Amino acid sequence: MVPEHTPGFSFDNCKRNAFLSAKGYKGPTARKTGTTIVGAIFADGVVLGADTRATDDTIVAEKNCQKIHYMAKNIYCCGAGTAADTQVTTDLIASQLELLKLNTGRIPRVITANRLLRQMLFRYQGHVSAALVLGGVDETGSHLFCIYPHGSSDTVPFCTMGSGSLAAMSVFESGWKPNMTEEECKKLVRDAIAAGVFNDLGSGSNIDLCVIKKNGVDYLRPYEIANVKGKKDGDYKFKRGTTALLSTLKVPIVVESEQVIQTGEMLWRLTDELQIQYVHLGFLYYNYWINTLWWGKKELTFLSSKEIMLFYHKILIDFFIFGLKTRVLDSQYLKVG
Amino acid sequence: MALVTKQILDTPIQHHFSPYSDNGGTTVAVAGPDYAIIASDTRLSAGYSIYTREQSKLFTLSETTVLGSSGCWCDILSLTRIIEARMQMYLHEHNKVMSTTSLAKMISIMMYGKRFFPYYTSTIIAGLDPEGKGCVYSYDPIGHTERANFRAGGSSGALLQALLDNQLGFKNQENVDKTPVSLEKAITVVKDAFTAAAERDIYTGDGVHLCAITKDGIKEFNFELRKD
Amino acid sequence: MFLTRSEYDRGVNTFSPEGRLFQVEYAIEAIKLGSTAIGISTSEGVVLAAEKRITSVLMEPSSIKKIVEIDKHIGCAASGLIADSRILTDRARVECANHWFTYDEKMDIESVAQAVSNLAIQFGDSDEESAMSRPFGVAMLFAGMDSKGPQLFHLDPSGTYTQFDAKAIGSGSEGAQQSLQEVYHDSMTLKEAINHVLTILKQVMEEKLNSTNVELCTVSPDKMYHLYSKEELEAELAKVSSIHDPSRPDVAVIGEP
Repeated sequence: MVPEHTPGFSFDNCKRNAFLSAKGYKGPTARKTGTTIVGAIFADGVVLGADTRATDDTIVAEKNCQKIHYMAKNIYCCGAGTAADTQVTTDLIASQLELLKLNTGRIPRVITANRLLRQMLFRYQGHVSAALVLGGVDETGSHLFCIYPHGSSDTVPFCTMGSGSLAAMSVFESGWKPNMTEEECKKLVRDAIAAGVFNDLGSGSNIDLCVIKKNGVDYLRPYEIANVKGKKDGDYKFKRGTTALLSTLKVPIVVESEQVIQTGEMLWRLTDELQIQYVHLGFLYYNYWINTLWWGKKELTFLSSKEIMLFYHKILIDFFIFGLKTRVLDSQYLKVG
Repeated sequence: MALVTKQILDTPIQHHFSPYSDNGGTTVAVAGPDYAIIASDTRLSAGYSIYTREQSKLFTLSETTVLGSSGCWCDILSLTRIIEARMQMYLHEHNKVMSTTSLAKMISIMMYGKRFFPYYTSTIIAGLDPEGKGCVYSYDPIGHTERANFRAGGSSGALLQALLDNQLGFKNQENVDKTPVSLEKAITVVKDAFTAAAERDIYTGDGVHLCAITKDGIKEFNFELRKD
Repeated sequence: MFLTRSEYDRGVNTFSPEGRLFQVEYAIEAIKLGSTAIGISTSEGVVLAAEKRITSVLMEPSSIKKIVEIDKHIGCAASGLIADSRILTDRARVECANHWFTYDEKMDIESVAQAVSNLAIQFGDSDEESAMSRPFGVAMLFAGMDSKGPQLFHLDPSGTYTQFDAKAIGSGSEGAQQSLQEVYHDSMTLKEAINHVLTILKQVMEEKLNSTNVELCTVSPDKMYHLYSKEELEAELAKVSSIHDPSRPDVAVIGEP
């Protein structure tokens, strides 16, 4: 039986893990976002910035991770420390803020988010290792806080956190001034993150920015691709027949039925077929299909539902125009498989 | 509270002498039928800091031998200086330049001489043997050595050795021509190996310094790597 | 003859006013009392032959060793105080073994001669620095193959080492050296060299040459160091006896009629 989920942390395995480590077993390590995160206040709001590297000891675990977390429509929060802690802590408080918004019917204040985060972190005495830069705009103005893993926080006009904080702070200390314009502030925050990206080994890859103003949020991800993936000179495609086979089995593809669909009628039939196809092929397969065949994209990115719909329409229109005699072979292939 | 304090006071504190630091870096070497190449990245770092972006970790020891080493930089400097001194002494004593094979053995013995206070290095030497064939020798910190056709060492050693096994040793490939690769192809693979390592190893980056050793001498190349 | 020099004979490292080290010179004299040993270096390899003096019929000839192996690729013949030669050959062996251990290669013959020469000159009065209180009373011929090819080196008690194409040491060295000079040429084969060393040895020895009172070794690329057994030696001696070169009457008469 799966144990029932209870709220809060479970300490069930503490004794067992202590016993194992006493016997010399080394447990897995948590992923860190050895990070550069910053925030700065300008005339009309707050700019938050972050790099996008996540590390697992000395290995880069993720080259484009998201470190600027959503708290509320008007509040965002950068996280440094243990990746899971920053993610879950911000999510947890974000949901509390959402409930607060629904209960009160008001836009939550940044100080509220600050207080909730502090209380959460203080409760766990630093064991939840999240170092945060919290910024937002509410009816009382622009606010910026930096929150430490033990639950203390500072109210500041600019701040930096993470392993690249010293590099970033050197930029702020020399460049920050009150009442900057949005562009000035974005440039300064970019420079601060870049300082961390290039001089701190825990930080790297791209620069994300989030500009929060009274009339809306500009989430710029990426704001700048500071490091492009290295180009290879060699060709590393394997020739056909390179992979060793243990045994081979030939399964003939049987065409169970063939249908000729006339133009006009096809539109609706095809819709049905495609829907079945989507369900069967799964998310990854159709993403690949869409990207390579349709959009001609090289990398495999997930598409928004808007993009999928766009594709959907396009394919239908194309088929409609040309009135093709179509055998939907893909669905038959699936039947065989 | 009092109990905790007493517990802390009663616990003996062991002090450690830690004279080593890890300055990172990666070295890759390949031996061919009539050439040897060796390359290192040019980043020197400690912890999360970069000391310099342009420190080659290659040491040209003779016209036919180049050493590459990563690990504790001060140990690398010390080791290579003593090797250079020993080679000079050998030259005067025996009226000839030490061959790559002799050097390989001598380094092993020098390292094992410090068995219980080792040079904290991951060392590889590449060069031509007395017959003119390419050779590569790799070392652990206490002098275990083995002649190989290709080797990766240092912070990305474990990442790259598998790549070299596949691309240069043709491991896990069937129906392929397994003749040793040309010098040009080997340089390409080594360069791409560093490009790949720089993507995932935080201690490898900035640039590559590469030496190609043939009977005509040592040619040097430099490549750029990502800087984050 | 040496009476007037006695004042400078006391300290082994004391120069005479004429700039001579008498003890070293005496040591060189001591070699002239020793049995004869000859070496020839050819393009095919090096040969060493040494006389063994069997002073009593009760003596076991095989227990006298004038030619010894230093390493797989080096042989060494000694003349003079053979007990002293033991110390030097021991050092040569250690140096060779150590060189192989450290550098994974054969030690060059010249390097061996140099290493042994370092020991040979470490004589003196003080207890701390000296290996010996007097110079070694022995001369040595190092024969071997190394990266430079076949090599023959001579070492004397002064620590001087010199490369030779052919060299004789010991009591018969003067006559033998003269003969070597006459017979030696660049294109000599190893076979010829073996014949020459035995022939010359026969010339200068008081005893009749036979398989018990001579030792013979070759160092060649295929066999490296090879000490001739009694049977092999007898075969070589038989060839020597039959040699008759009309252009060289002095050589021809030596063989058995």
